[in-house]
Amino acid sequence: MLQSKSFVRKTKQGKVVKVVREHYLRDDIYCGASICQVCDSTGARLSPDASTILILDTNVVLNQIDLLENPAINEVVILSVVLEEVKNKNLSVYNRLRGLCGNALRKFFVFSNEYHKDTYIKAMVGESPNDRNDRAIRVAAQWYQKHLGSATRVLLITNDRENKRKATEEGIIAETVESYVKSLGQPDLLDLLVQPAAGDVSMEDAEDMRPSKKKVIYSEHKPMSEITSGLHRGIYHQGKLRVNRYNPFEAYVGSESIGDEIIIYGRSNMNRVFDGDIVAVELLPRDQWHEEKSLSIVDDDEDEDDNVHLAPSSADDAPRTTNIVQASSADSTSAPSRPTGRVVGIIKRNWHSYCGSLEPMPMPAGNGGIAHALFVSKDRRVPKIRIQTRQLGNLLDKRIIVAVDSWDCLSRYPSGHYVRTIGQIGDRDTESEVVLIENDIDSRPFSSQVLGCLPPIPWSVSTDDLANPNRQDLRHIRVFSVDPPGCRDIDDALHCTLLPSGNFEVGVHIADVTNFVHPGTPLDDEATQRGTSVYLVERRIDMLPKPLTEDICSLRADVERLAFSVIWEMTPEAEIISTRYTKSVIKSCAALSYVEAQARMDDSRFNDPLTTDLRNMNTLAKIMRQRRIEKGALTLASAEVKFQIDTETHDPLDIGMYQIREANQMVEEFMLAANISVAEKILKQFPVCSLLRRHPSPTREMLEPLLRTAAAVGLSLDVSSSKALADSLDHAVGDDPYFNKLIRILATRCMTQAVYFCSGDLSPPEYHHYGLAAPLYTHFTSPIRRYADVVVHRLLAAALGLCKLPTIFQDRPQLTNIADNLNYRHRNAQMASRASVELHTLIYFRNRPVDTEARIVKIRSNGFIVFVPKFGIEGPVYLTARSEKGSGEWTVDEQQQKVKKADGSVSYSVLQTVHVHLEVVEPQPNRPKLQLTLI
Amino acid sequence: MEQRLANTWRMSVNDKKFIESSLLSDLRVDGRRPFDYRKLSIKFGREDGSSEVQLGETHVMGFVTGQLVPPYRDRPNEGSLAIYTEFSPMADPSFEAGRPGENAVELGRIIDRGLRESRAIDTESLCILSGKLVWSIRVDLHILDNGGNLVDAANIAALAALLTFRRPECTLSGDDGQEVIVHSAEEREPLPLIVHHLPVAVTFAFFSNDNVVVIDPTHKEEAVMKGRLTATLNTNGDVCAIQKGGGIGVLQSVVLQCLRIASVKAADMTSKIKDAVESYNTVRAFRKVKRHSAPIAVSVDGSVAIKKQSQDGAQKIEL
Amino acid sequence: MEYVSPEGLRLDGRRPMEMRQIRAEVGAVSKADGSAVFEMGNTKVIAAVYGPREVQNRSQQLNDQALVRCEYTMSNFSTGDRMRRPKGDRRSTEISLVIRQTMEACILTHLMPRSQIDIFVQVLQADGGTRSACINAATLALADAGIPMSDLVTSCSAGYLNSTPLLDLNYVEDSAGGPDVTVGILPKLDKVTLLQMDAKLPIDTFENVMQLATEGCKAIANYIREVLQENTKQLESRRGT
Repeated sequence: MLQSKSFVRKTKQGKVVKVVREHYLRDDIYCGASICQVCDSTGARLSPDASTILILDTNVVLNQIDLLENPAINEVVILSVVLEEVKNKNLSVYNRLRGLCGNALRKFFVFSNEYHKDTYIKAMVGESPNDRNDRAIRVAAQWYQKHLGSATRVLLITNDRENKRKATEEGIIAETVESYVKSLGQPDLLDLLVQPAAGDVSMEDAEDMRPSKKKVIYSEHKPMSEITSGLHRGIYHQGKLRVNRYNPFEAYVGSESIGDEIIIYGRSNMNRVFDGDIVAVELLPRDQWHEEKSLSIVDDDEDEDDNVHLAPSSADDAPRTTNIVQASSADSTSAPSRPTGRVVGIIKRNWHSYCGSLEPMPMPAGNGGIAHALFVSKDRRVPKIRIQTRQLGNLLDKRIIVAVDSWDCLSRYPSGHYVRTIGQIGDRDTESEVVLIENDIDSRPFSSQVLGCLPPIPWSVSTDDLANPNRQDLRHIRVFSVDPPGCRDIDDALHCTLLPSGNFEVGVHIADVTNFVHPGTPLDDEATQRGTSVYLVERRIDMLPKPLTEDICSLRADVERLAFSVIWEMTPEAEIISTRYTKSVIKSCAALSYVEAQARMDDSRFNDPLTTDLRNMNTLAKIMRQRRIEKGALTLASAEVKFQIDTETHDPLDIGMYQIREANQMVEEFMLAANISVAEKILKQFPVCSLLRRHPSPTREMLEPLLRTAAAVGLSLDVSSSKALADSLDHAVGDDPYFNKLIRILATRCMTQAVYFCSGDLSPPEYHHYGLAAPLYTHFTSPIRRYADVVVHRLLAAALGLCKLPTIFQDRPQLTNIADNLNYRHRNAQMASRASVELHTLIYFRNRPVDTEARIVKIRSNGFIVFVPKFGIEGPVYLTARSEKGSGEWTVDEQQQKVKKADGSVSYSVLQTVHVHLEVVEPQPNRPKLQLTLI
Repeated sequence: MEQRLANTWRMSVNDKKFIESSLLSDLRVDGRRPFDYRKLSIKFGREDGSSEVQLGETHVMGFVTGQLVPPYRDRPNEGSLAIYTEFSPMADPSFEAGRPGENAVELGRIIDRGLRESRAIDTESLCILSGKLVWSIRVDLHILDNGGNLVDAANIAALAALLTFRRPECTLSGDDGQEVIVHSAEEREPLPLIVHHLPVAVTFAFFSNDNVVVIDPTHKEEAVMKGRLTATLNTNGDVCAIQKGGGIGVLQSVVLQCLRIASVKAADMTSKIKDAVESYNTVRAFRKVKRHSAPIAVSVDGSVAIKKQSQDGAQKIEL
Repeated sequence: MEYVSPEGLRLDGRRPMEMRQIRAEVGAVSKADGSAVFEMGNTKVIAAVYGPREVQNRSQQLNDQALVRCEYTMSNFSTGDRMRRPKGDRRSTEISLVIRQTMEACILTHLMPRSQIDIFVQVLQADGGTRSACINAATLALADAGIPMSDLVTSCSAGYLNSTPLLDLNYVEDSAGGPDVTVGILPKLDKVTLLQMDAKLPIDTFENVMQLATEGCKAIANYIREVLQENTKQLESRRGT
């Protein structure tokens, strides 16, 4: 039978359209009761011995869904009219209801009353849709009673008084929810009952997208005028907001007016801010200020603390974990409470594009339908973003970039739109690109403008260059370079000549990049932006275009190239007698790798002039190194890891620790010397605007963990100065050969990062470089891959009077900006390299679970952190399963840095050797992680 | 709707009979086997987004251009893709200048369906400012020589042009991020389109005898054929579009068999297109770096003048 | 959006394999040589056939077969929105071409050389599946006009939503953006003459959907035969035998 439904609707454009739809009535819809003789009972869900069958009203379903989910409620018939209404009103309740109906164990049956020829009704004239639906429910209930006869009692549950009255009039048994539940005689069910006058829907419910139904979740931002006046009066405070990386619902606003950071807790107090926004904050009353407690970690699968990662090489790299051990120890003094506030307005938004992926969700029916998806960013500080897309199928398993458009106070998440796809999740190239994007690294190809600044290739030293009086012709000197194997961008070369006087002339020649990169050109601007070359495992993102880095500037063997040289005359005891700096033309005679150079020096059969030079240099280098160590230079163990990559598939073949040879140290020594010499020269000439590099000394707090660990194994370290520390480290010898290295690795974690700075910003004592124990330092020797070196080259050239200092150096704030940018880029490049290594580690271990030895470096209440020397990685090992945190089976001994089983049978102490099993697991689809388990 | 039959080239009856009977023995007039494609060559023009495809004697050129426009009202964050075909009378005497005939419309719609409905080109990434500015991509296909099987050739031309097209990069600026700056090709490298998959069209021709099916019919075979099926597939095993607009009836099994053959041919074609695009990209990157290609002239005073040949920009002469 | 509920019912109450209600009427346009009205659910199409008659444009005359022309139009009022340019746009041109080629395959054109057969199809109500309804209406009209055909041509559409093949999509289901397969067959010979598909489908699923559409076509063919038989009986009775 065919009916037709017609109704009038308003389209998005505002036009009014009449919609006519067909509606077919069927006679093959069954009642779902197994006892029924008439109907086909294959799809029946109601049990044969049911004495009462419930039919629910829409409001009952909406309000009492918790009650319905309780197993005590059974034998329920859900009418399709009720289902439709629930779907339109509240999507999450609808989903739960569908879950109930689909659950084979619960006796819920969906009866399509709208399509059954006996129970379909048309709206009467003047009847509102609600009334019509209620009448449909009553008609269906009546039909059920008639259909099943006296075998069962059909009960209509409704709280609506009108409905109940009409039902009773029509002969249907009706009850309210409360009376029915009471009749069941289970008092605990009464607790699940929700009072009908319940207030707003709690935030856990999914939002209804229709504007009339949205609830206001966030308070409105105050208008700008009010904010400015508030700032004047001092009731509001302005500052930049930083979200806590480990807890996205906690943020800090650095405020100058208060002098301390204001903490913002909780989603509603944060009021739609993003990390990096400039906000106006109102302080909460004092009694609501939170105590200083350790940063809480939101228990999530992506817990950064619990990921296996590379051993950190400085305190900045180590995750800022709460030492749960610390918290559990008696901390009697309660820390003073920190000012807490809430955000009232946003002065400047810091929105940009974010990369991540979509939350898995079922596909919409047709591929072209609009789907509303939630985008989860890789950066945990960013909230989830809602986007609309018509190509959900194309995007679900890909890494995508999304930009934010708006966030109004009615919606829980900001709205944004899809920008572009990066690639498949898990695909190595895609993940590498994600690493680059996350760290703000520009990997786009160089534009035509930039390439236009290069001289045409093939390039060679021209007669003009040779004729330049400022450029010394050093092509006759035996210059050579020593670099990692396969290195194409050679930026440094050395020579060592024995002078007739018995002294040595040692020279360090650096590629003359500033000859080609002039200030103010697009090439220079691009390089300033990029700041440094980035080294990923499988590729390198260059700061300068390839023709420059690998050909024109690179000091390759057997070709003449331009260079900037630092030449010393030194005694055989490596005392520097004189230093001179000059631009030069050189011709390298050999480009050796570290292995080759070492082999030549070691093999006594080689006695050619080149090898003699190498050996002389090595001797000098050793003396210089010893001198530095005496002054207090630290030799910390690097846990650097190297990958052997398959040339075809670019998959990692082998992973191992980086080998340091004498040849490495030799080159390093002279580079350091060159850097120091240049630093002295430019500082003398330009005391206020030189670009230098410093390494702040670590504070006592930063060295705490090291001292504690050392004390636990009975070692006392003197950390009063770098020399003292270096000496203590040298004397830290334990019974096993790896002990010393391990202590050095632990020491590395406590160090600060070295940074660039403008000499005018700080006072001379602060120029100190802790790690090298040098009063002055800068970067000069790698202009091909670091922009700081380019700047220093320009400074040196000006100091020598070869050219004028560019005007930018007179602008102090600009210089500070440049230094800050360089630090930022350097930091990002390091993080990207580490992330790339971690990515490849994951790929390497993907199908290669392995058992190996590990050393405990930190104790926690539910396990410990180990360091695996063979691969240079560290990660957590759990003694209790993650869910049962602190079950009490294991106790921690702070003093001895041990974790003991409750019955005292087994204990693990720091620096102990254990055996672990490494395997890649995928607890969530597409999010693999490396897991360490104790064997 | 009406064909100008006066201008159509009529085939002689002998020719028709010959083609039909030789097909019965699996022989085609140009020596191919029934399921072989003609020789395909894909060339690219100097500009990004222009391609030239020759499939046997059929010659088609494709051009892709982009423009910033306001979006459709019901698709505020999507760009658009439109296909236009030009059947130039130079290609075939029966083509009329001006208004596209039925065949032109059908061809346009087949390619359009293959690209747009299957979401091969990511139109959502063409949105710059939601609701205000989006990129509208226009693909123009010019038929230069009709040697039969225009659909396949035009489809390949469209795909090749779309793969090599680059659109300028835009950044948002201004206080509220509402201003759009379009960067020229010099300043920032232009971006390629995001293509999720390549739908390749494969055309089958049916003749009066049930068992005779051939791929890639030539002009003569088209005059003899009784029905045609164009299947657009991609390498993921999806059918993107099918067009069999009437003509002689075929069994269902034949249709399915054709689809299977088509998927093999599509894979082949996709790899050819990808290779051609790869080599074009390498050449393009190579061209960007300045090289000494002009002869070195020595000026009167003995110093060397080198004229540098630069790309789309200023000429520099260094002494 | 759910197009097929977990109970197996579609938005309008049909099951996935069920077609909408069909209704056909022969002889609606008195002036034409043959005409028919065909309804599939809310889609209503009227077809009129003129011919075989003399060719209007001498230059187009074919010496060995009849010239078939077809024109497809949608009325202004056929969809919910009043349309401004229903005639001459690309879609209409393509559908006209498709219908013409489909009918040409089944009309025995060589029996009527140097003549012209015009088929005019107009959509009165559009609710999805207009192409199929047009072809079915044209078949009926041709039969009514007495034009010799090798077989009837019937057509039906099918789609694939919520992982279920659905027969005979209406407008709402069609605009969901899922695949839409239109199949036209010659029922007696069991051969496929029209096959169109858009949007993506894996090959195996496509097979199922095409199968379903073919089944639908056969059911329509049965109905059309009945209608024609009924019509013939009426003509007979009017003649007085």
